[in-house]
Amino acid sequence: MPALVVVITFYSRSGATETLASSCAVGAVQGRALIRLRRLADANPDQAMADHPEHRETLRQMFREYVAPAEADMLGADAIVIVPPPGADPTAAGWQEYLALLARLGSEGKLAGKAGAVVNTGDPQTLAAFSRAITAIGLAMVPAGPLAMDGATAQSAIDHGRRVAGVARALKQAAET
Amino acid sequence: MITIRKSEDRGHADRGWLQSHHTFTFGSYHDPAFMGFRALRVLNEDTIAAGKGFGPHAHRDMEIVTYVLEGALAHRDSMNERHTLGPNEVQTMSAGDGVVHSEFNASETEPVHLTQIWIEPAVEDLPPSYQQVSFAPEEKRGRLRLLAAPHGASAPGATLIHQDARVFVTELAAGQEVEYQLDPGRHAWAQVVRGAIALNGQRLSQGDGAAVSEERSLVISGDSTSGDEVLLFDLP
Repeated sequence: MPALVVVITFYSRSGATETLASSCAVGAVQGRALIRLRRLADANPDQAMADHPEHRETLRQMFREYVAPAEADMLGADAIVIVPPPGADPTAAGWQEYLALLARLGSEGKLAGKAGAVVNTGDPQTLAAFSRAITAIGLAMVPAGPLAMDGATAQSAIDHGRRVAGVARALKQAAET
Repeated sequence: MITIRKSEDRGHADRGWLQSHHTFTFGSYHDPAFMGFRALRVLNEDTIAAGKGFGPHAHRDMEIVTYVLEGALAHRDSMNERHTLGPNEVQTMSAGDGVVHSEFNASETEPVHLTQIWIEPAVEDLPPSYQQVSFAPEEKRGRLRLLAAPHGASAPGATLIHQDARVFVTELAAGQEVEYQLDPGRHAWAQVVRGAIALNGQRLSQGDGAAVSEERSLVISGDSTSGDEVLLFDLP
């Protein structure tokens, strides 16, 4: 069977959400998937650093290290994971465009058979809002496991990533038989 | 038996910001005749332009040893390790059951030139780990300085790898010699990372490698005037 690919898209300024996204990626790797980590781009990186001088170095590092999610990433994915920071709004600029891309691909039938997940980053309302968006797109939702009941921890994100890889593999195998 | 792998026969990738030479199959370079040697799976010589590098990516079940020749490499990973690696240091990352890391040139003005080594672990699904060890340049001059070795090896100052393999470095002046004894059934790989050497009388230039089997004694001698440096792998 071809390699399983999990695409993880996050947004982070302080690095806290990045850590959870990275942990989710580790879980997916533990589940023997290939991973693509993508950071949602800031519309104006210089302004983002000016607005958040306390995170300037972290932002600079992330601008350097990550690329934004692209349509090709989604088409090549077996699972699409979103890691929104606490308080993020699916209708806000950036997320709205990203979710619109997913919605279009979904309406074209290009996300059929793919798994989806939203990693808990500590805010139940954010989790619920993004989970609704993912479900509406038609991805097969992979909920977090019992570890997430303890909150947004690296271990719960690892566990979630591993579960995502497991479900995505099962979906892929089912589609091929 | 010594089989030489010439520098110019290696695979080469030019991504603009990255010049990479692959002794063995890696990335888009594939040669079924050079898939690795024993447990040594990857041996890359990379030059990364200032400010550039590899964004976050994952590894699993591989012992990744990095040795910087010039410049500095910034590393950060999913174990919350953040370090800068320079010459006369060795970094070993055991990917174990999964790790995500990035590697960037730490300088905004100078390139970084390094060798990256992947060794297959003897056991899979281990917890990932990170080690970095510095040493004085004198420790490698005219003698073999152990960089990586398995548990149980008498190896103070070396990093731990989960394979019955040992990685050494030595820097030799012209005419200076070091000798290494291979146990029966063991194999070796020698990789010239700077200058030129003679390995049991056979000349190797920078970038050349040599597979060694069915030999008991290895004599490495410096063969240039510029400070020759060679990595030596003792492999099962």
